[in-house]
Amino acid sequence: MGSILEARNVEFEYLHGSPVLSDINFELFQGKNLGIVGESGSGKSTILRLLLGIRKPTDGEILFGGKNLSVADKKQAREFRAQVQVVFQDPYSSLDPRQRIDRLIAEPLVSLGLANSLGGNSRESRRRWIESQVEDSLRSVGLSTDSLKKYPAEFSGGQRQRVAIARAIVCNPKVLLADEPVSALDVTTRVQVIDLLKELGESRGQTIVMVSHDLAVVAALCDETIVLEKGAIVEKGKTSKVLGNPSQSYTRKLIESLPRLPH
Amino acid sequence: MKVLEVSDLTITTHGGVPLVRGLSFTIGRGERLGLIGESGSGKSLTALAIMGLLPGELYKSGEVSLSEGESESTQILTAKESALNQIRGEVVSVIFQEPLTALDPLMRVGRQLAEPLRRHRKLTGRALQSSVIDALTEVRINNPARIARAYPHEISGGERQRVAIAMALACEPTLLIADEPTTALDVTVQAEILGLLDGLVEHRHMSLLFISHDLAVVSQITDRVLVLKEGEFVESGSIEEITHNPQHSYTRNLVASALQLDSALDFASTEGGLDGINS
Repeated sequence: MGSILEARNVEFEYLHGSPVLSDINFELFQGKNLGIVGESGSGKSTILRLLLGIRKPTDGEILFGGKNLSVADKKQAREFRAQVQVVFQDPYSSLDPRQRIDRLIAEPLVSLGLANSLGGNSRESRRRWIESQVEDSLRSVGLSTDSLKKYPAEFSGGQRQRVAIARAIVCNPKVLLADEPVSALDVTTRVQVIDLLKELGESRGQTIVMVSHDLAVVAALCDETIVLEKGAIVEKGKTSKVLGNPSQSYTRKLIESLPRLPH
Repeated sequence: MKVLEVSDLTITTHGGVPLVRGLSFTIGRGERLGLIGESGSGKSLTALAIMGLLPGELYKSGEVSLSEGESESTQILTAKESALNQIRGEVVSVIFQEPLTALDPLMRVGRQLAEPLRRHRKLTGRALQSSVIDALTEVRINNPARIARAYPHEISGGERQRVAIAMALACEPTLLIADEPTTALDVTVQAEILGLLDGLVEHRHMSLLFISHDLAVVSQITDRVLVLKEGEFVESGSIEEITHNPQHSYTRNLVASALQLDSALDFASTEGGLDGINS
């Protein structure tokens, strides 16, 4: 089976800037969660922007289902947005504070026009379809439907991140792009959200691309790992191999720098 | 000899919501204590109370006393601002999480670092200049003269945190409070900063209060921890006791989560190792 997303010979630089990414190549396959790790300035967030189609590579291409990704192509862009959704780092800024949870989660269904194509002909049936999708998604992230009429401010950080995940999965995307999804959370909440992401992969078949500086989180969730240093891939492969038996000194340095608990 | 004694510290909001409830602990000369807890547990408020920096609108009761050497101790919660100014820097100093907000963006690094030296040690001219360079050298900054001339935005996050450490240590305080000093840093820089702090605290025989939500980070630099939950003392003990034999269910949950993440890396080392042998 072909890859869902692929970066092929990708180069990127900002206007009048020095190169941010060079010679980036990787493929994302269904069911194989991918971790992209690196330190500040390594280019991880830029890769995420390219994968989201927010930026275009200066050279090379991002392929979605084997075709060059172009957000100017409205039809492809709509299909792409329905299949690739994102969860951001900070659940305090990624949710509109003035909207109730039900509207927040329903947003992708409405803006992508899915309600019109899948929700039936009458207004009433579309409304009921949206309601059921939202409730289903909310239950998948372990929140009760009592939350529907609440505002984001009424939730803790971990619950807000669950709401953000519910919004991302409501249109049943194939891929979830997650930018440091747990680094703003406490350690106990962090473990719960990782478990949730893992579970969603199993129950809904969603594949996760996670950008993170936290190797433990990547080790807990991702099958494959890419290590980035200064805009270039220094090592990639199975997570157990990359983190357990790294071949590059930079990867070894990252692992050795991790504070570990006494055993 | 006790350097810091906190007894029955209680902090409440104007509306009567308790933020810290009856907290008591002590730190002796040269001792290191880790303060652990999740968001909202009152860790940072405790640090602010020790520095005498609590916002005026909060109600506080109990005692926080700091003593330096054989001299009489100072009651921080009731001390006058002039007395607190004397104590801050000389007896107790703090390093915050985000070095960019701790440094004045409009002042060159050298001038900021010179401020405590001029104020407390009455240094001027050449002596002041060379003390600034010495302070930067001590925190292992490369090319200290260049950094002294730079503005905070011109240097990296790790360098900024080193400057913040140099400022905190400039007047050789007895007690150093580090409030999540490495949370905003990359993991390799975090390891360097922890190593640096460890060496400096040891070398100067300082006392350390290290605040963090991350047990693994705390275990790198202190040997005793105190667990806080919603402003209340939960339990305290050595890192080993807390990790291997936590008494309270809250601590058990905290440790289990930390161990779960930590063990994700174990799987990597064993499986990866076998992979390496097989291939």
